[in-house]
Amino acid sequence: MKKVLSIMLAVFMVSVLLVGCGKSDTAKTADSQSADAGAKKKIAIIVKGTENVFYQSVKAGADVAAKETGVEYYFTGSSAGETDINGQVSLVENAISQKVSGIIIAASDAKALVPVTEKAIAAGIPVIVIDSGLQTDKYTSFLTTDNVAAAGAAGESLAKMLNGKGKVAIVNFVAGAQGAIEREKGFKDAMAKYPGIEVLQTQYYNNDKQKALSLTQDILTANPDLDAIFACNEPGTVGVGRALKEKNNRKIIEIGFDSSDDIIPLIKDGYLKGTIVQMPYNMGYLGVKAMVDKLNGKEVVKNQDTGFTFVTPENMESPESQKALYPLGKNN
Amino acid sequence: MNELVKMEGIYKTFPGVKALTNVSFDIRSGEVHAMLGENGAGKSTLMKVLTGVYSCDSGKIHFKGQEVNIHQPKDAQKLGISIIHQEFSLFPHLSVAENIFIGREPRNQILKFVIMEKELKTKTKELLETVHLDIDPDTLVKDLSVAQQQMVEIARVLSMNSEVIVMDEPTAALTEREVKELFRVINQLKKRGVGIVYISHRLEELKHIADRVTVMRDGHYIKTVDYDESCLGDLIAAMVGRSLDDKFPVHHNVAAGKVILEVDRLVSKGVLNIQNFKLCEGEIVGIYGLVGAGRTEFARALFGADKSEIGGIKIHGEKVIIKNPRDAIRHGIGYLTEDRKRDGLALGLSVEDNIILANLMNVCKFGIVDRNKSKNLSNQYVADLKIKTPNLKQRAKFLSGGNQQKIIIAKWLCRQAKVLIFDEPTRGIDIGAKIEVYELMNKLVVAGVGVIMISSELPEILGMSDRILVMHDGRFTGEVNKKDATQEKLLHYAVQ
Amino acid sequence: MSVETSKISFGKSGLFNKKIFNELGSFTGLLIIGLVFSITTDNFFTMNNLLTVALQTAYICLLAIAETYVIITSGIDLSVGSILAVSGVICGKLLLAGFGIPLSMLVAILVGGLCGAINGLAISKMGIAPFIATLGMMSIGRGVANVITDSLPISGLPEDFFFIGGGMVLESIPVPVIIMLVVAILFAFILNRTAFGKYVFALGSNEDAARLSGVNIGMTTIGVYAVSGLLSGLVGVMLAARLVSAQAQAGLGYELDAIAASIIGGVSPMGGAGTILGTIIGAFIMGVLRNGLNLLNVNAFWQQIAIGVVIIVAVYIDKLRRK
Repeated sequence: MKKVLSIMLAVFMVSVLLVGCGKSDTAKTADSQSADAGAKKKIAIIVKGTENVFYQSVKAGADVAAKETGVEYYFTGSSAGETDINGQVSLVENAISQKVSGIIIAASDAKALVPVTEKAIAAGIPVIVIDSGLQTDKYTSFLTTDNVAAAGAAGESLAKMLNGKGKVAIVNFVAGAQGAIEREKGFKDAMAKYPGIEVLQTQYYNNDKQKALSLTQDILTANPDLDAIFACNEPGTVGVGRALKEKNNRKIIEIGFDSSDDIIPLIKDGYLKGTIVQMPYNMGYLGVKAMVDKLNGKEVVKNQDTGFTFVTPENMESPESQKALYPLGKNN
Repeated sequence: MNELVKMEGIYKTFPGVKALTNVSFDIRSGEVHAMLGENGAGKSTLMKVLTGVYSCDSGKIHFKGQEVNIHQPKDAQKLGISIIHQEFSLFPHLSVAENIFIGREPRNQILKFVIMEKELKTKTKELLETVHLDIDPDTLVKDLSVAQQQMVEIARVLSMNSEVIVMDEPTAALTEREVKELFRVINQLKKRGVGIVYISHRLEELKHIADRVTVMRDGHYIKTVDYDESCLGDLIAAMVGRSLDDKFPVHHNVAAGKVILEVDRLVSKGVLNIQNFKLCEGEIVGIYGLVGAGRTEFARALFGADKSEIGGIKIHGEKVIIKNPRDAIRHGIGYLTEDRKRDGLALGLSVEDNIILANLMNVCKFGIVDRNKSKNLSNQYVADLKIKTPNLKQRAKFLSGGNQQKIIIAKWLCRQAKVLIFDEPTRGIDIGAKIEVYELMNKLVVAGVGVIMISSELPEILGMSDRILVMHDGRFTGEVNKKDATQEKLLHYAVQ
Repeated sequence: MSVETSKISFGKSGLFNKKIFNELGSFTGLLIIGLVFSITTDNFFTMNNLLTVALQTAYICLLAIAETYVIITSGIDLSVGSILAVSGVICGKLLLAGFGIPLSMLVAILVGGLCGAINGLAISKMGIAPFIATLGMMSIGRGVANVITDSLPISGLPEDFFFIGGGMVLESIPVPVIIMLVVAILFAFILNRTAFGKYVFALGSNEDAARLSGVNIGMTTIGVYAVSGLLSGLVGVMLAARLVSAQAQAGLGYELDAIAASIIGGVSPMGGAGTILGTIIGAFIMGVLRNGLNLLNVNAFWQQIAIGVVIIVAVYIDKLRRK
């Protein structure tokens, strides 16, 4: 009886494992009318976390570009989330040992990923960086939202809403990530132009929506005179928005960064007064295109801004905002 | 013989307890000085003062005529005073050589961090020879028998050039043969001029080794005498205030009743080969044998704790199936294990929880404990068995060995077991508690319970059993009735 | 914090009264921390903030109760954070499929219990060490949650669902706090007053003795880990409700907070000792500390240091007290 139980258990675990593995994120392009007759080119797209809608949009853009150019790619990210830097390093190492044709990476850490990407480049695998910067210059191209400019624009809009006066809190996703540093800098630089605006010390929520929510409650308790909160990415924007919604507080001006199905209702309901929507679709699309160009020996621009849209409750119905909010189409 | 150690006017107080009051003690070179006293008499505390585990509150210690201060074990070690504890302090996963020289390994003269393996081994070999232990210095200690481990322990203290060795219950876990070997080593140490303090509950051992005997009671020094077999009765009286005749309470012969337990074939390959076994109501069956004879294995197999092939077990004539302890308990069998701390008691739990543990289902309604019932039952057994505990909530670990044993007995009484297996029921408990345990066994048989008593102590087996089965190599090699039993007979069957 | 005497007290009236004395040590610590924040910040000691702290801490409390059961058996459950995510996303999927809130919650919580029971089976029947078995489940659970959701958040859940995770009763008492209190009382009762509870302690105190006393070790182990799974499942559902959105990455690293809370609350890592009340105090020590440091606007990195120090100091004080 015990034996039977143990065997059943073992079988169960193995099958769970198989089911888990069976469903991988490899996307194969159906039509292979590629021009070159040689082996098919395979690109690794390594992002911080595959869960994030943001990277799903990257994937959507990559899908289209891959179809157009006839390359193959696989899409992966550490299952332990954006903070799992070592996990991402191993993913890059895997790509190198698989001898992919090129690597497109959104790096979890600006420094920690440098050695392994340089190793890839040394092995003759070109690297294109998207979304988050990498502190090396050996990569082929860097496609991203100009975080400093986008956060600066958000800051300017907020300053206008506040009439140049008020108390502002910043909640950021994780200490030390390039994007986090740049967004905070862009926003703070904009705030610094207004002597009437006081900015509190930055707090971190480690990409956990619940933590962002709790953090917001504590900030509101500590600062009853607070006027605005700037959240630096999707989980933060959702967490802050939900905290405001729980208290039905529309007085605090929340400015967010990124968009998702959880964020859009917050704009509609008026808790989120504006959010920077990046164009991750462009990163995926332009990233794959640039990689194909590079592999075909063409010249590639070193730095490319993929742009952003600032969506507010007022302009959210405009075609431009709609495209930014629903890059994958409204029913996707 | 010159005096090595002299302790004078030692006082030691623990919160709420006067552990030692004006105790004096001395050790001479080349003698075995036995210490007697019930548990809690202060023997171990005195030796812990001597070896630096405790500091005394007041009093003087002289070593070879000079006053010394011993505040920590290191101080004692430097003087050459060592102790071999009841529970060994060896490292099971290190080799014999490493164990003996740990912290003092012979080092390379230049590269101080390099251990001289060869020298280490030769030195170890020499030491092992002095204790008659013929094993490879590279053997891991965990692969040694208990007796061998003890010899390694002795070799270790010898390697420190100890002049005084304290042995606390050294024979508790040894077989008769191993005890003899230990005594041979002790007598050799004596010849080398080592002074030995020997703490034991087994009075019958003293005649082989003891030169002088000191008796302690309740933290007081009672007296010191030169050993002489004729004074044994006086010594016991000094220890407990009772005379030797009381040691085994009169065992009222209960007319053996109906057969309560019948076992047909109990086989476990290479360990056990029992063809049949019978136990009657109101009978105490003693099971004697040397360590490794398979006595505990028999008990565990019968209780369903270990797997074995069973031809058939009948209780009150009805066939039952015992696959695990739960089955055994359901059919009215209780098992008091050999090692209370390891598998007898949940030491961290309260007296009450231990007493009701095997009987929870009868103290529960719909899985919820009936606290009044639980309390009343526990109180009843605490009173019946005279368990000394401040209250029911006291954790078992804070009680003495004798009282812990009584808690386990209470557990099985509470469960109303019909068959009770006592495995070494009086090991490590003092004489007073021993007598109480014997009396309890007598009461049980009067009430119709069948008792199986496993013991290594011949006097206990002879004094308590109605019938004695001797085991050797996993088999019953002899059966002797109470009236025909002699030590020689039993030993004869045990070694055949 | 008093492991010494608090286990299995049989107070005459009520579940907690006798133990309150025993938990005095850690409770005093909690009061001191609270007092310091009351003096140093304007807003700590307000009804509003205290309720917020209770709400924030309720989730960790529930996980810590689960961990308390497991640690008392001298085990450990590293998979609570992952099981929580599995239950959360299953609840989300069922809600989207239109199964209604009560049914979806029930199924999701039971799935949590099942995951826990599998842990228990692996430990008791396959003989795998708890650390390893739950480490495996931690990875499996996270993977399953990602597979189910394709690693996308499940949004568009009914807003009514929010009530379970952040709703208020009588205007100001958060529902999770009420759930936490009910669960705490129930599980304290089970631990102290039922045969199962006694077996849990016996198993942790001395497994061999428990087996030889007829305790069904296998069923007790499975039961304990199933309890842990059920409570994790409950927390998963509540967290999803709070955001009205289920995440495959929910509860990442929460197992460590839960373990820390139990240990601060005096549960012995060696097993055999611990109380639910102590654990709740332990969780609140961590919760109050986080909240207070946030109110003081203390740098996030210093907060990490402070919490680490508190864990070590709390356990050290407990050790000293026991000497």
